[in-house]
Amino acid sequence: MALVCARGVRFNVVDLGRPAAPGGPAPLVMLHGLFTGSAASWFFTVAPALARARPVRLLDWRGHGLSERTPGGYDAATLAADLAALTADLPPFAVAGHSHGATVAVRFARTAPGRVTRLVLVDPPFADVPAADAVAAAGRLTPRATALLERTSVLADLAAEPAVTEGDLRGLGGLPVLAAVGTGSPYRPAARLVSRALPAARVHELAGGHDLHVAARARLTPLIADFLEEAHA
Amino acid sequence: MTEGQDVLGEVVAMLVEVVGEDFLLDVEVGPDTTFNRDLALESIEFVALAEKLQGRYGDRVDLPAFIAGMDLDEIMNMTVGDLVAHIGSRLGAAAV
Repeated sequence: MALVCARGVRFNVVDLGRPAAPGGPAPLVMLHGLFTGSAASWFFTVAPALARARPVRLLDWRGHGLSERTPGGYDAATLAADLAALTADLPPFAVAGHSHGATVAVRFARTAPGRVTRLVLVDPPFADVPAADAVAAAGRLTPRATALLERTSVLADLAAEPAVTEGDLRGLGGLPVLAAVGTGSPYRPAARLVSRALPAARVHELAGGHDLHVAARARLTPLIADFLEEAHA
Repeated sequence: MTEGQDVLGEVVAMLVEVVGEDFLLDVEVGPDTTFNRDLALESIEFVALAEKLQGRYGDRVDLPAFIAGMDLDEIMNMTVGDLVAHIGSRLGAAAV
């Protein structure tokens, strides 16, 4: 565990596996969703298996997990800038994002194209779903998540967030993309959006709801591992 | 004192560091104590505990690898004793 101060905010960053080394496999940085998400979302699901073959970095977004709660700054542009600061020490890396983490991943890849090698989108919220439904999709709220909702601008930030469009995705150029959506998720239509925008993307519909990394952990883990391995094939 | 009791004591001390002494005052932590139901440990606090274990025991105790082999029900029902037994077996293996 490392508590890191970046951009005036204290963040919790968790590194798994061997440290990044020159000539070694590209690291994987994993981005959780809002409200109930944290580094633990990945730690207890797919991250340990993926960390066997590459360095994996998990982080807690501001206001989440053990990172500092700030009054505002939960929009994807601010979180993408946080991500840039929290990965400045890494060589180019693959990014996996769940939910709002997937939105941040796309924004980050657009603004820092040379930094991202591959992109994994887990139930990305690229579909028109009201913010209230997004909270409902996140499930039972912990006291930490309730404080986030009541004391910060997170809901307003989320409501004001422009949805990721086909144009945004096409702007990723030739970046390899893997997307997995839940058949029971309100964001299931995102699968068609990604397929239309990026015909070369690997798109999978897996049985499960919005927390696909939990419900479909057993199927998702090898999908991501194989996708990352292609980089070395 | 056996090695198991040593490890138990160390795990409890790390738990206190993670969640704070006040929180554990009313709970007697033993091998049957569950992290989720008895301690209401938030998942991110368990991650913090895992990192403290890594700091204490190094690569000999690889909790992410331990978790990778469990299903979610097993993770949810994990007891302090399960964790202590895992640490003990890894330390024992390392000593051979």
